[in-house]
Order: sequence, then structure tokens, then C-alpha cells
Amino acid sequence: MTGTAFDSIPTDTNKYVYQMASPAPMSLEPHGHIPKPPLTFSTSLFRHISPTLFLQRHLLQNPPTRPNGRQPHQYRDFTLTTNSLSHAHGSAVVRTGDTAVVCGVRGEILELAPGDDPSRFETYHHSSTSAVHSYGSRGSGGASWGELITINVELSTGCSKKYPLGPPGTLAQALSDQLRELAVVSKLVNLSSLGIYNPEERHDPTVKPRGYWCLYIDVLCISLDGNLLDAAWYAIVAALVSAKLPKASWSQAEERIFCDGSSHHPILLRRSLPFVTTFAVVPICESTGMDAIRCSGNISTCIVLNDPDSYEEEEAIETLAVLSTVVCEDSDVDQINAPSMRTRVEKIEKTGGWNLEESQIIHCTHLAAAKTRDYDRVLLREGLDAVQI
Amino acid sequence: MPKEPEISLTEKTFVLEALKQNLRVDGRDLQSFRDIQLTFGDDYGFVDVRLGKTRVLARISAEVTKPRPDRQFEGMFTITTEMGPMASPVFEIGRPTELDHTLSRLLEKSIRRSTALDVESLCIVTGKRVWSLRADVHFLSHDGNLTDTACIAVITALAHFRLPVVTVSGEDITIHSVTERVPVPLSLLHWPICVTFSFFGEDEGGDMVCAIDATAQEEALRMGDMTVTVNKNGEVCQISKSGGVAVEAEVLMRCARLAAGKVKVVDKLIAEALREDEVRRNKGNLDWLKEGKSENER
Amino acid sequence: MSPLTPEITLCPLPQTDGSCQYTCPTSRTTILTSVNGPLEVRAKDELPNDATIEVIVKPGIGVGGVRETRLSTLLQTTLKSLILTTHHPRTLIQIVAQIVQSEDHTSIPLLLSPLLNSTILSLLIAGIPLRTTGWSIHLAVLPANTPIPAAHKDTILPNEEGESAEEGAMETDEGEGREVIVRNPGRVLLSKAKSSHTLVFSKEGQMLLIESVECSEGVGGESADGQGWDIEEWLRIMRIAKGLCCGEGVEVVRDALGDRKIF
Repeated sequence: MTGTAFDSIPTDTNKYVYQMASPAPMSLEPHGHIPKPPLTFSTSLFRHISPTLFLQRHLLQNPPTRPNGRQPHQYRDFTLTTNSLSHAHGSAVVRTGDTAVVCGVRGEILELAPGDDPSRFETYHHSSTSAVHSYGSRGSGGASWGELITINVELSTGCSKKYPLGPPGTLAQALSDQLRELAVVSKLVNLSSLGIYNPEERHDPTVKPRGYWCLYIDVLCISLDGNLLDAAWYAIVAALVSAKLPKASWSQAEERIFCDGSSHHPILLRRSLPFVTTFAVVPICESTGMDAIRCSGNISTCIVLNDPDSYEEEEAIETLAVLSTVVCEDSDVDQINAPSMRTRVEKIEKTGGWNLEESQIIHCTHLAAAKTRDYDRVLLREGLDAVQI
Repeated sequence: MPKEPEISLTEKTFVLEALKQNLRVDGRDLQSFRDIQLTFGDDYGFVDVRLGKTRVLARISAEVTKPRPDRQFEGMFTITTEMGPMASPVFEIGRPTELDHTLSRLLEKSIRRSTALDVESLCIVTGKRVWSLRADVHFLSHDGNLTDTACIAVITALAHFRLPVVTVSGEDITIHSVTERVPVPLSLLHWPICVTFSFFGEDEGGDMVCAIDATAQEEALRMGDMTVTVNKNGEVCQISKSGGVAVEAEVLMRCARLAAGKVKVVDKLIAEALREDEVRRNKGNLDWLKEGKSENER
Repeated sequence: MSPLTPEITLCPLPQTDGSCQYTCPTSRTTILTSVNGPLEVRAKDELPNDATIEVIVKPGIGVGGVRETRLSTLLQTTLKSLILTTHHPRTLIQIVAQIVQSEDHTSIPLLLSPLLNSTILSLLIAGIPLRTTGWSIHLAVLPANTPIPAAHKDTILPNEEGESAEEGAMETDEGEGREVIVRNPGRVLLSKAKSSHTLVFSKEGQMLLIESVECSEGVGGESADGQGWDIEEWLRIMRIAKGLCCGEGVEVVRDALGDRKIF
């Protein structure tokens, strides 16, 4: 491939011209036979044979446009359906573009065994000083809450060409752990609201719970086209908001826990729901040979793509995920980037690459805020008031 | 897939000829171990064992769990061994080699089946709560004789470990932290220690040379091996000879006797290292030590 | 030798191409890493233009689970941007990290920074071509008036005067004090922290990895409303970390490698 270059900027036609570096001028053809036309490819072929350049050429347009037609800051529309699974206590189906995720929440009762210290179930980031922990069993430290909330991710067979049949791969495992971490960081669920008490003793605040509701959260990805993290987390939040556990209480006479399906056990969630927004960072200068590209006023060597699809994820060398909530005045709800709106960041994770700059991270938090508000609005439209108990 | 480097013919002849004259490449005689170095970490039950270039870590951890329904009076004890590419690129994660299987089987027989650890002492409330102990063995560097090194590591770690004190009152179980009550050692009934013999010789029926603590080079050239597990009282806990060259019964007897002698030395070395570590741990804290001792003697 | 200098032993494993044992001076996390490569790669992992980088994190207790997979993914993506993978196409660079000792064998904040530093040193020793070197630091923000044991006084970072002063005071309900930033805290101190930040910078000050999380203790639910931080507060922490990584981090690497003429 040396001596060749993709010199053409894509035009509005669907043809890309693949030119030799120094094509022989047509008129000076010495032997007089008909010169070969420059080698051309269809868009779809270019897309496959040189994905890096294909993506870069798109992003170098003015205004930068992604191959999927979106602007760099634009995220895909999403739809949310809750409580579509009848066997789960709460469920949600989220679809953004071609990524579709089903999440089910199932509650199971955990009866406290002698020697169990309820306080260790009721705090996130528990600073336990108990001997078991200093004796280094694996589940020490912050993992104790994990006995109440378990998150598991599964990629269904055929959800994407990349992930073949078999035991959970690296992606599913890393994602399970990431979602688990998000649940701890955001402290989404009030753990003490999962306690099951003897109704006769309930008025006494010193009394210990008799058991707990354990929440098993299963996420199944049915179709994968990038950015599974955002969709999975949104599905988890929506499923928890919609979840209705049966009323459980301890019966002193029978010495066991009973469930009553006619009323509900409330799961208390946060008032300000946190959402995660993922960005892919695509470098745009090194392989094109240009020193620096002007984008959005700043000289930068990379472009940040909001809500990447799997084609963009493949090319991205850097990923940024922001978990944030928005605190804003009710009056200017519809105005994005309003000065009264404060973004509270709860987690920033950036992996791979080295191009991302401070200013871009700030910009990303603003984009995350906009998406967070949209997420919240759709949840409300689903007829679910997050505040309602 | 990476392979173990093959030993050249010259090297092979040299090593084997030398062994016939009771000489080894590293200058040892046939019946001696390489230097055994034991290093302890900050935690109880963690030991780093070095035998020449072979290096093995062992860590004991404990957790309170429910007992098995068929063994209500007994705690649990498991030994996990997994070889990874750190020890040698030949070992792959998730694809255990034959050595992996024989080694974990040997440790199981030598330590668990010989009831070195009294599992009944791990019971807290019958049928409800027991200690579940696990020994994790990590192989860091492989230069032969992983079996003996791993066995020394697990035994030393078990002897070094301290279990937190538990008090039971009615339904409530309290696990006391290290600062509240001085943790207690495990009840180890004896210290079984493995000694692996390697047999060298060119043809069967010819003169056989027998050496202990083979290096990786010698292991690649040996015709057969046998592991004898003995405790310091000279009681044989386990003998394993799977395949390889046939050995006369008399040789076996000689090996067992030799192993008994070697184990006494190793046993003393472990005890000495443990004592030194205890002194180091309690340096400048002797009052606390005395207090702890009296409490434990109750 | 400052009490904050990590204990580094290079080449503790003679059988590998490069290895390093690293002990964090304050959290006592000990990591042992080994690098082998370039090796022959399995056909299914072979890349036509790049070296395959395999990272295995082995837990100190138990068998590897999702946490270890996550840690190895984090390491792998960071190293992929550090190693010049095009120099050894169609080969395997195999990195094994063994958690030797840690106050919490599953905590990302306690483990990630030592894991990265140890791996980078092993790669340098193994002679794997790197684009640049990096260094990692873990910072924790403690609420004002947190009692800090005398042994850890050295880890407190000087709080330079800045616009964040009012914000710091506003965040904390108890008293007028300012938030305290400590580096590489141990488990006990970390459990009191409001947020934890593991950051990796290259020698030139490029951001390689960010893993910043809110980590205050609590029951969750509504009590967690309003937690987190404003992005300006985070930027301030980020700049402190950058200064440390590019300053003394580079010095530590240089001192450790000494006259090996690698760095």
C-alpha cells in the first residue's frame, strides 16, 4: 500500500476515489492504449476495507458528521418499556438504535442466620473492622452489600457477530463488574428499605430486621450495536423504579417470613437518579498526516463521539464514561446548559489512548447532563414517578 | 503455544554422567535440598517459599459459612493450586497440565487426607456455622520440585495462620477482631512434608541414581519419580509413585528412611523461621504479647 | 529515601523476561508482575499488524472472577496505548500480575495503581518497546476534620490556595475545615473518603487512565442525593495528580532503573 493515499474528501456522492499517489497523466500516455480509470470503491466497500479512514473522512467534513448520520455530540433516540416480563418483580426493555437490552429484577428472601451482622448489609463501602475482614476472605471490604444486590450481564447468542456462543466472555464479565460498581458508587437503592421486620416490632427503631430482600438483577443483551453500558444501566434503573416486591413480614407464631401479594414492599431509590453516558474518542490526525485539526474552535487531535455504535467503538482507542446527576431549577427545565443547572459527577472512567484533553472532559460532562435529563424525562413519561414510593 | 526448551544431547550426557559420579550441576550432593528460604508477609498465614530459583507463595484465608449437611461437626478446608504463565510460559490459564493435576492430588493426599488439620476444631455452632479455610498456592517461578516447595509452603502457612477468636452466646456469634482478642493458631496434628526422589539411569535394570530436590533441568532428564510424605516422627503419610522406571522395593525402603531424616531437618527449619517471625512481630510490644499469651492459655 | 517511595524489586523472577515486585508504601499492597514476550501467539488471537497483549490478573485469594477480569481489561487498554504494538506484529506479549498482599483483595482503588506501576516497570525491564512511560497515583478526598493517623501525615497533599476554597467548605457539613487530599491511602483511611481517584499519566502529562469514583459510606437511597462532585473540583485533583505523576513518578522510575540505561 506504500505510495498510495486516499486523497479525496467524501462528497455527497456515494463513490470514493482511490487514487495512486502519482497517477500517469492521461494525455501523456506513451503507448497510446486507453488509460485505466482511477480505482474506485463503493461506500460500503470502503467502509469495510479501511474503517479508520472512512470514519476520519466523515469526521473531517464541515460540520463533522458520523457515518451513521449523527453529529458527534448527538446520541441515538431511545425507547423504554417497563414491566413487560410477568415473572419478574420489575423489568425494563431499552432500545437505543440497534442496541436492545432486557433487564429483569427478581427479589428473593434472605433470612438472617445467627452471627450475621445486619449492619454489614446496610451500608455501601462498609468500613468493617470485624475480624473476618481483616482475615482476608475474598468478599471483604465493600463487597458485603453485594449479598443484597447481584447484577449479571449476559450477551445472548447472535446479538452481535463478534461474540460467539460460549461461556461469558471478557466483555460480559467486565460489564457485570462495571454495573456492579455503578450500583455501589451511585448508592441507587436504600439498602435498609430492603429489610424485612416483624410488623409488631416495627415501631421500635432499635429492633433488628429478620431478613432481607435480595435483588437479583439480570441484564440480557438481545442486540448489540455499541454502548451497552449506557443501555444496560438505564434498563437497571428503570427496572428498579418499576419493581414491585410483595409485602413480606416476619410471623412470630410460625417463626418464618411470609409474603403477601396484595400489597407492596417499597424499594426506596434516590430522588435524583444518576445515569451513565459513554463517549468514544477517535483520533483524527496521526494517520492522516495532518498536524492538528481545528474542531469546535480548539485545536485538537481527537473527536469525541457521544453514544458510539459498534463500528465507532471498534475504531475508538479511548473511551470515557461519566456517571452524573443533574441538579437544576424547575423554571428552565428545557434549556440545556442553563447556568442554573449543576452537574454532579459521581464517576469518571477513561480507558485507553492519550489524546483526550481537559476541555473535552468538561464538554462531555455538559453532554452527559443533557442526556441525563432526557433519560429522566422518558422515565417520567413511562408513567413512573421516580419519587413515588 | 510456547514449549519448554529442549535439552541438548551434550547437556544431557553431561548431567547424567555427572550424576553417575554423584555430582550435580549446581554442586550439591544427591541427598540434599537447595537452600530453603521462608519469608513471611504482614498478614498471618502468608508465606513466600524459595527453594533455589523455585518460588511458591501460600496464603491461608478463613470465612464463616454453613457446614455441609452431611458433615455437621466439621469445618471446611480446601487447597487451590493453579499454575499460570508466571511460573513458566508453558502453563496456560484455564488449561491445566498433567503436572497441575498430579500436584493438586498429591497435596490433597499429603495434607488433607493425612488429617494434618483438625477440621472438627473449625466448627463454631454444630450444623449452623463453621470456619471455611482455604489455602491458595501460587507458583511464581518454576525451577523444579514444585511439589515439595508447595507442601512446605502450605504447612508453614497453616502453622503461621491465626484464627480470630469467636464467642457464642445463645444465637449470637461474635467474631473478635485482632485488636480485641489475640487470635489463636490452628490445631495442626502433625506437619506432613513431601520429599520427591528422582531416578536417573540410562537403561532399565542398570544402575539407578537417586536424587532429591531435582531442578527443572534434572526433572526433564529423569526416568521416574516418587514422592514420599513423612512427618517429623518418621511416620509415612503417603507414598506416590506413578509410572516411570521400575524401582526395587529395597530402594523404596531406603528412600523412606532418607526422607524421614530430611523431614526432621526441614521441620526444624520451619519451626525456627516461625519463631523468628513471632519475635519480629512482637518486637517492642512484649507487654502485649504476655497479655495475649495468658489469655490464650486459659 | 522518602517514606513515600514505593519498595521496588526488579527481576525477582529470573525465569521471566522482565518482572517486578512493587509494594505501595502506605497501603501495603504488594503486586508481583511478570512479562514474557514477544512470544508465539495462538492463531485465534493473532493480529496481522500488531502484537497481541494479554493481561492476566491472578487474585491472592480464590480463583479469578469478574473483578479480576475487569482489572485485566483496564490494564490491557492502558498498556495497548503505551506499548508500540506495531514493532512486533503477530506475536504475544504476555503479562501476569499476581496480587501478593492487599488489605482488600477485591478493591479497585487499592489495587489498580500498584498493578499499573509494577507492570510498567516490568515492561521496561523486559525491553518491550514503549511509546512513553507512565506512572499511576491514587488520591482520596477526605472530608474536613477527618482524623488522620500520625503515620500517614506524610500522605496529605498541600492544599494550594484557589477558587475551590469556598466549595470545599460548602461541601462539608461539619465545621469550617477544608477537604483533605491524601495519596495512596490504606483501607481504613479509604473507607472514610468521599471520593477516590486513580489516575495514570504519561511522562509528558497525557491522561492515560482515569478511574474516579464517589465512595462515601452510606445506606444509599435518598441519603445519597447530592453526592458526587462538580467537574471543577475534579479538575483540581486531576492537576495535582498530574504534577505528582510527571514529577516524582518519573523520578521513581529513573531511580529504580538506575544505570540500566533503559530510561
